[in-house]
Amino acid sequence: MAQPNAEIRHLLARTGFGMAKPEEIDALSGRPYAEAVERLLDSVSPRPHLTTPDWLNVPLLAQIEANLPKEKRDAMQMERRDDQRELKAWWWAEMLNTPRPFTEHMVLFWHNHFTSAVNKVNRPELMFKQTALFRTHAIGNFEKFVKAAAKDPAMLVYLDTNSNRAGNPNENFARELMELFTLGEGRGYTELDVREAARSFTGWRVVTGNTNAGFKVEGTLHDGGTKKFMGRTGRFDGDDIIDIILEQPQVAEFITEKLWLNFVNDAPDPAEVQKLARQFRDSKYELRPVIASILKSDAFRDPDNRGALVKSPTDLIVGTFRVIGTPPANPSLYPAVGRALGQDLLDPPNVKGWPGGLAWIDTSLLPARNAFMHGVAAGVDVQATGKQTLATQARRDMKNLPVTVIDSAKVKSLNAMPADQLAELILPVSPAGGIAAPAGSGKLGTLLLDPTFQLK
Amino acid sequence: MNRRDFLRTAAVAPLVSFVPFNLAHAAARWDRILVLIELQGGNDGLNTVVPYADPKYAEYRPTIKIGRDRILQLDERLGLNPELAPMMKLWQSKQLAVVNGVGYPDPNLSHFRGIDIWHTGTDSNEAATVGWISEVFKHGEAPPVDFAADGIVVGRGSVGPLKAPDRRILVLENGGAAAMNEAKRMAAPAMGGGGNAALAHVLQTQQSFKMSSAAVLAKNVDKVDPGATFPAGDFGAQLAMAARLLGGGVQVPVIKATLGGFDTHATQLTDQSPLLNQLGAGIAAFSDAMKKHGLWDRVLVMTYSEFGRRPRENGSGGTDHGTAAPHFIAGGKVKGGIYGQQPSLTDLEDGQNLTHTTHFRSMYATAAQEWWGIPTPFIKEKPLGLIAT
Repeated sequence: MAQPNAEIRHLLARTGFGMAKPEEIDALSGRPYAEAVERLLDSVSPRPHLTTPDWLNVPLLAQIEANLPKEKRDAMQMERRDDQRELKAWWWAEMLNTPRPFTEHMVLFWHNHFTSAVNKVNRPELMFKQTALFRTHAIGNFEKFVKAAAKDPAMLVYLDTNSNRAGNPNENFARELMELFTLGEGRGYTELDVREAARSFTGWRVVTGNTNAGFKVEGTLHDGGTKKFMGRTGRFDGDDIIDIILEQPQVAEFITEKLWLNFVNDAPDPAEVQKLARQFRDSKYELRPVIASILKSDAFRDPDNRGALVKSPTDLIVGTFRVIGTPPANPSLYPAVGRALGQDLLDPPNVKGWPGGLAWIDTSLLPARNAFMHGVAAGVDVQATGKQTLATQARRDMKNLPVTVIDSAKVKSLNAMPADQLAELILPVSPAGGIAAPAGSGKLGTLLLDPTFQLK
Repeated sequence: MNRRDFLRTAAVAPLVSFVPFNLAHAAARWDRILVLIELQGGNDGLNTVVPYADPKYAEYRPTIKIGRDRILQLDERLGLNPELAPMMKLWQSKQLAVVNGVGYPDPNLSHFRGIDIWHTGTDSNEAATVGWISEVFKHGEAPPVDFAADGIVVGRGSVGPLKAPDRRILVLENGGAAAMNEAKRMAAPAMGGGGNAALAHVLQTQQSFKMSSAAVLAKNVDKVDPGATFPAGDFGAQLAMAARLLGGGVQVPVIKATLGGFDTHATQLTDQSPLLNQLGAGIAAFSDAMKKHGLWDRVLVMTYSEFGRRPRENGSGGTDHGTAAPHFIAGGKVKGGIYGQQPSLTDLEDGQNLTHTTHFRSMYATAAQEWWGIPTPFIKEKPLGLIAT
């Protein structure tokens, strides 16, 4: 293994899951940086790597809507719980296995933006459909994306649009559309705007047809009256409201800043954000070019910017096992690990999603993260030496993951690397040191427990 | 005067000029504990403390009103939701205060901004990053350094009112066993971070966690009898943990528990009832436990939520985000009764929402000034006057 290209490592760590496989770094190295960025953007695909769970094609919805006897309904609810677990497991497996981690990185970014939670939606097939939508629009056009997200069945359920009707508007979606999805909290709308927008989305419904849940406007439930919204007057519907919102320059600023916080650091440069936002708006909300500009920016590429972000729990788990792990034999074990570390994918804490940044590490979450990494280091020891002494501890600290999730061949090959090269592969910056790792885990174990491993 | 004004004025004026005469020079009562209960999601006040005698109540809520025959009467106008029955014992022994119409001007109806305002104690148009309790500790008086922590969050809730970069806040989920184990084997952390703010944050958090954990570990709280039977479920377990911490002698001025699920946009009757049931049974059990440990006179229990809900039910059998709501304050030293006016149901803000009658910072002033005896000139609202001397 050659010296890892530090700049490509940084690019992949920030656009994937906190670190990168040596072969992924090699594949993008040896070409101009700007070209590597474009190659990475080219990799985004609407199709997942793994085959989708087979129950997605079962017409569950239609059956549930029917007037079944109670015991049948209860049995179906149990089945949905199973499917819910399977859906979460499937996504973790996709993130761990995919050759296109940037795609899943973006799906997760949008899951944390156009938030929905399966615990409220209660229909795993709708949540799967929503993540598929995120894969489709991952780096596409934001205007099309907002309009599609507003009509997405899981979103219609999650933010109560599905029960929003003329004469009795439900403001949940209208408020979050402006506060969280487009303008940002308190940026250029009033309580009256929220109410008038809510009227415009009345009658938007989930179609619970055969296999495919879809969207329709129920005319009798839609308020076709005149609305006053952001200084305009008309018989607006939901799409009109989105059009008016997207005329506001705050939208591009808000989304650009959020992309900056995700890719670059916790301190967006206002002038740079303005410049990027103008590009975003001028391109009629094309996401790919603005993301490309961010990844090519001086701020992103500055070597001092490496290690400036805290890894999310998903980064910590997925990134680590992509580099040192085996393909997951039992994906259903991973969601609980994420939950323990503070990120239960598909069940965010609330509609605002996970706050992220430094908030990933506080006195409540630090112990779980540390315990997990102690477990990984113990597992590395077991897989490196063949001695089972630490296997039980590893399993406990990795929240029930067995040591076989760690690939002994990878561990041996990494521990055979020169110390400085291994450090550059595993850590974003020089190690802080002072760590006591299990003896058999070698250089790798020490690096995994280093405080800087918590950063990307 | 709001927080910004205070910081400006404090630079030129001696602090003592703001201190009420009766509190000047008094030492803070660090033997007293504040137990906060966050009702996450925005609890519907009108179905919690029901204005049953007001005809508008039934009119606004054709399908989700609480029937008059089921109300637990407090006075000739107000009554508790029947799910809160276990709290009636505290009401009858005059150790339960019902604070009406708690809110603030220009209310924000977003969960996040709403709870942010409550947690930081700021005005509606003002943003801050430090929690209101940490603000009291910073500008008033800080807890003794030999205390285990400045605050303990039991369960999975946010550190909210305690949030501050330099406070020792311990979060003990599921009894805290995992946290304690981790603290035992955690290496003494290196400090610094070499100019990297993210790394400095990792290291600082590690040190703060390790020190507080050691102080709790010394008390063997898992061996302590909670002192009562708590309701099943996570909320009951949180309060049982609080009882074990305090019963075991862990020194801490604030404990925070969280009960979630109050965002009842739909099917509110089905969803709110079990939550109020847990709340009532939980507070009653906690008071029993504290009495058994001889601590009830040293404890002040206070509920809060990001907002109340709309007087009119929506088309989904639920209520949308609203404004003012009642809250509970209980404890051995509390002078029970009804405080503050019930907001009018006819004179609604924008024809939609209740107008607050009690500023939420009055509750904070009560905790800081009346309970702990800490002067808080940066809280302009007056305490409610509900602590017996």
